[in-house]
Amino acid sequence: MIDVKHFHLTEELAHEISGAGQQEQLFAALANAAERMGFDHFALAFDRRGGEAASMLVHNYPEAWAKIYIGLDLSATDPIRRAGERAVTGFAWRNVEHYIPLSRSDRQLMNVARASGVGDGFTVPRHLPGEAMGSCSFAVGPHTDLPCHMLNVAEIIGAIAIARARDFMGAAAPRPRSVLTERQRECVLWSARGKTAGEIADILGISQETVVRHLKMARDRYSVHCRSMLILCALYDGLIGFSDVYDWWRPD
Amino acid sequence: MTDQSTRAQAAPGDAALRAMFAARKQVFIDLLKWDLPALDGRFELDQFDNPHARYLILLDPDDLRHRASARLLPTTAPHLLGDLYPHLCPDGAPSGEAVWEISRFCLDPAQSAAERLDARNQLVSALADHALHNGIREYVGIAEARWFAKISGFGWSCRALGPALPGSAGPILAFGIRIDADTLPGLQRTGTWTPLGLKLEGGELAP
Repeated sequence: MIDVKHFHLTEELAHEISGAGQQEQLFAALANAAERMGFDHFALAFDRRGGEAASMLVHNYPEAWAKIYIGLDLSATDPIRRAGERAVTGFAWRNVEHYIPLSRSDRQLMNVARASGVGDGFTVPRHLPGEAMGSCSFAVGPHTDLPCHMLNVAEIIGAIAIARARDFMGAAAPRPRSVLTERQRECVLWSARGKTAGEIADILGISQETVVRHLKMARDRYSVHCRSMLILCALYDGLIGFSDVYDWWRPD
Repeated sequence: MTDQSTRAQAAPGDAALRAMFAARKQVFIDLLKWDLPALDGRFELDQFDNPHARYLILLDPDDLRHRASARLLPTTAPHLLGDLYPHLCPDGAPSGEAVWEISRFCLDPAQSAAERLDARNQLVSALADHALHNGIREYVGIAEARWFAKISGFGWSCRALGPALPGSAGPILAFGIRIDADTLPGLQRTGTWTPLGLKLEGGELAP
């Protein structure tokens, strides 16, 4: 059953978040959204890569947890953020093991968070490989249950908040033209599919020396020194796609 | 890094807390091989590092390096002796407003033996002083039997609260230290009392 009240709430909160002109307004809008949905805290993180890297974190976590999580700079090893790179929708933290295996350190981090006032949470992830990783989390205290009836609202609100964060941070402008020539790109693509220079030569019907030269010039254009970095650059630039490569080496 | 809530980064005590958690990883995990997970491979924290905890942290006054630290937990909230090791106290673990637990007594490994001894004595003196100024009448804690022999020789009134029982790395026991008007003279008599030369930071995770 569709709850009309939820629809109106979603529209209202979304409007407030996408209209936030400054980070202070975004903070206020998210704090309000978290409260209206029945959460205690929120955290909106956006890490831009490519070009000039920059990060943004807007949150109202309890101060003890902020001192630990931000003061000790633990976000890079946060299992929730790692899981976010593997999830297509928002997920509850208690289900994080559906996405990634947890180490003892990961569990300890979650224990420490709980002791500092952050229990369960719901994280909406957005991963743009090569450009950015964004996440919007809504959390409750250690003795509170997630407001399960609000998770679809949180899913939409979180996504809109990440989009707003991306507006603030700016995205690296797409390169107007490919860094690589079409022939170079083809060589990189087959290389990413695990083919040797000799095999690529056979596939493309050119000499092995020519393949080696194309790959060398491609490395020079990205100023990298090895084939694996070259492949990553082409992937991050969108010259080749994950799906172009995946079927060629997918383990059984 | 843009950070909306910059209070956490700007607070002066945070560098000291950071240094202490890193030193605890080096001491308890790397050196003493306690079976504890490290956060991000760099810091040792557990569920008792929460807003109830207070920390006494001694820093080198010149370069603010960590020299020694200890964690204090109120026995009216979750703590090690009451929650994890109550079996060490056959008569029940002491608790109350005036009873605090000392844990993670940590001497930084990156100092000479003489510096370590000096830092240890200053930390013991600071603990006694902290108790006298904050209405704490008894400290409790858990120690390996060897370490207990040292603690009980500092000159304060320190007693075992039960028999030594096997722990993961040798026998451990619970101890209690009474703090009263005789504490400072006692520490002075043995030469443990050392006036503060290091910089004392009173850390807290609570707002």
